[in-house]
Amino acid sequence: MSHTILVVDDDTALAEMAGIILQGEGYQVEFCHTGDEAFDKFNEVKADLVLLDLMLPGKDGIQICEEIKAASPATPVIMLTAKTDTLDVVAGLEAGADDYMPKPFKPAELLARIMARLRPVETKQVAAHMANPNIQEIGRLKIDIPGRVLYVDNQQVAVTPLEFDLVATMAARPREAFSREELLEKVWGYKYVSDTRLVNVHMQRLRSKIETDPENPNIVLTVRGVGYKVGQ
Amino acid sequence: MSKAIDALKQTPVLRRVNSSLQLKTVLIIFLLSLLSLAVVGNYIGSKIADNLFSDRLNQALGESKRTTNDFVSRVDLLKNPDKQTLQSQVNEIISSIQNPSVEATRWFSLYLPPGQKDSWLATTSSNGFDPSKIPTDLHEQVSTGNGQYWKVETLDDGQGMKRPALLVGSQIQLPPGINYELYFIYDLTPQQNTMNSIKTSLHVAGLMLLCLFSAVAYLVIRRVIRPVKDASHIAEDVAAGDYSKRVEITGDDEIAKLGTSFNKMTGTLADKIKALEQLSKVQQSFVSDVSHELRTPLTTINMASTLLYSKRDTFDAAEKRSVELLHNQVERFEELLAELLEISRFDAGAAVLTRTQHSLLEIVEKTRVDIQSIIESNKTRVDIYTDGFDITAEIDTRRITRIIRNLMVNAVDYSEAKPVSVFLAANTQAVSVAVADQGAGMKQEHLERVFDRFWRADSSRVRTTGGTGLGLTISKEDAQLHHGTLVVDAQEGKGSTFVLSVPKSETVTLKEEPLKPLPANQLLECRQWVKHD
Repeated sequence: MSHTILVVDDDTALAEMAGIILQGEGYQVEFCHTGDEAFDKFNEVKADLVLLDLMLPGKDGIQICEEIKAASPATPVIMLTAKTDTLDVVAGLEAGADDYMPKPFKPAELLARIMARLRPVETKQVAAHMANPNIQEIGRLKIDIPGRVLYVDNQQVAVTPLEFDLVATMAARPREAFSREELLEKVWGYKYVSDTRLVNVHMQRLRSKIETDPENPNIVLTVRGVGYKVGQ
Repeated sequence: MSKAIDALKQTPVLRRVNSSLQLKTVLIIFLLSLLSLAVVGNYIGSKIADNLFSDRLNQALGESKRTTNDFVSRVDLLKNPDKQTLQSQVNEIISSIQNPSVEATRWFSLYLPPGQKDSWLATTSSNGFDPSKIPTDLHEQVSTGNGQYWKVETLDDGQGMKRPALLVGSQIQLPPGINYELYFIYDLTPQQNTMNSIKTSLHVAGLMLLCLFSAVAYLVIRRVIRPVKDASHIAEDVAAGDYSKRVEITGDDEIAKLGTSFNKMTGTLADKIKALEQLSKVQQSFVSDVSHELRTPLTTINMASTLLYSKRDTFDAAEKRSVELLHNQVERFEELLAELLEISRFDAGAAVLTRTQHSLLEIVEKTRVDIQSIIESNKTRVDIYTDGFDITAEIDTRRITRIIRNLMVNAVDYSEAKPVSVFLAANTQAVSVAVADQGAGMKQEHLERVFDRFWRADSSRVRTTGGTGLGLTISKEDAQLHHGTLVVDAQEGKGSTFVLSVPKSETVTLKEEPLKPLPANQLLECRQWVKHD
């Protein structure tokens, strides 16, 4: 069964071209050119992944991202944006996007990222299960690897799949530090991407959900000069 | 001489004086007043002294003459006296002389010059006067001359005090034909005292005038200087960046005109700066708008070009070649656009630095891996050396990586199949990365231009990796953004060395670069290196 990708961009030429490329790879492609119709279109076509341009007429891309993620947290959203200033990127990621692609992008890279995001969850699960068949407990965290549920102080916390993978990956080696590049590779599946802002923002989002004081974390800690770790 | 004056000027006291117009002027007025008062005072003093003295002198001379003549005529009246008569007469005359005169003390001395025989009278002097004190030159004048002679001497008064005295003397002849010298000695102490008291008065008066002059000068100068001082302070504020300050204008004189002009100037400055800031903002938003507008169509072109490129083998020769060229040029265009936007960000002052602690060795090693294919196609290799110390710093990884990549790719490109060496070293404030090749090098005049925009060393050279001519410009701007440096030195035919140096963190200043741009072999010798393969 082929995946359906919704391309939301007001530039019709770009959307069409992207469609041609994606269809060439076997994906089904739907289009939307305004912000106001984006959410409805998403529901209508039941997209498996959304390519979302931030600068849209009508409803703002950030808002659309939030709506889609609220309705369907497991659906990957990749931002397309001409703005590469950190503030804009962070704003988009904080709205819930799983990744962002700055324009102009190489088509091959776009495809690679789409593939990484659409990789079946099951294969990830199997891999994780083999490494950690049990429910893992580290400090206040309880990670149900097979069930993909996260508990903090025995309370279930709603996290996105990426955020769960982030915690689970770090929990595989507790008290050991992971570099941002390593996390990009293990969690997002990107080998040669050097922009680590993705990791930073997702870490921030994770902390805001599981830490009592996100500014002074004590579950997921920053290791200066290296990256992050879980557990004291 | 001028060096001595300069050295003197550096002393703290003089420096303080020199820095205050008020102090300087008052001091000059003080010194000049002192000088003129001293000169005038001296003149007055000496004139009074002269007058006092000449008055007394004339009086003394007249009196001496009269008394001498009186003496002589009284002796003459005796008409051939004998020794006793003479002696008693002289004694009589002497006692009358000894009567205290109206004014100051007067002594006398009837002096018998040595070498005369059969004299009837010996040297007689009044009490308290020692005839041996009569100066020799006066003796000479009196004995050889024919009139009255005088001299001023300081004499002991027999009571241990020194007094100024006027000696008047003349030669007389007494029976039996012996020459005597008759001296009258006048005490000049009263004149001296008068002179002293006048001097004191002059000093006091002079001092008072001096103080008065200085005070007046100080007050007047202060009035004049105050507006200048105010203007000077306001100027300082303006120079420090506060363009809202203005000088207060009172009156209509030159100072007021100065103030008005100053205010106008500051106003113009403030306007210009505002205009420039506006321009900068306009530029920045233009950069950002252009950026957005160009990127979307470029993405579409990129996608189309890539698609066609992937299918090029299905086209015939001309179309295939066209697609290849299209693909290459689109890539080149993308690169150029990205670099142009980067440059305009620097120009607009909109470039932002985000620092993280990072190892430069890691960046260099990763870059070596990334450009492996370029290294191989140039048939060269890249050797990495560190001095064994920690080569980390708080840097913007993206920018520093860009610089290092640029330098290493350039070096490999120009390596002429000889090895390229990268050295990493640090000192307390900064870290350096030196990239040295042993290729063609550069001419001296090219060295200065190598960071210019769109400048290429030799337009006839074929560059295997293309390039826009902006790479080094951006690298230098990136280095300067970190408050670091990017320098180069080269020798034609021997090779070039570029050295990037950045301070270890935002708070540290780069004072001396850990590495200098020397040729590879010299760098190799300058310390112990650890090779990283």
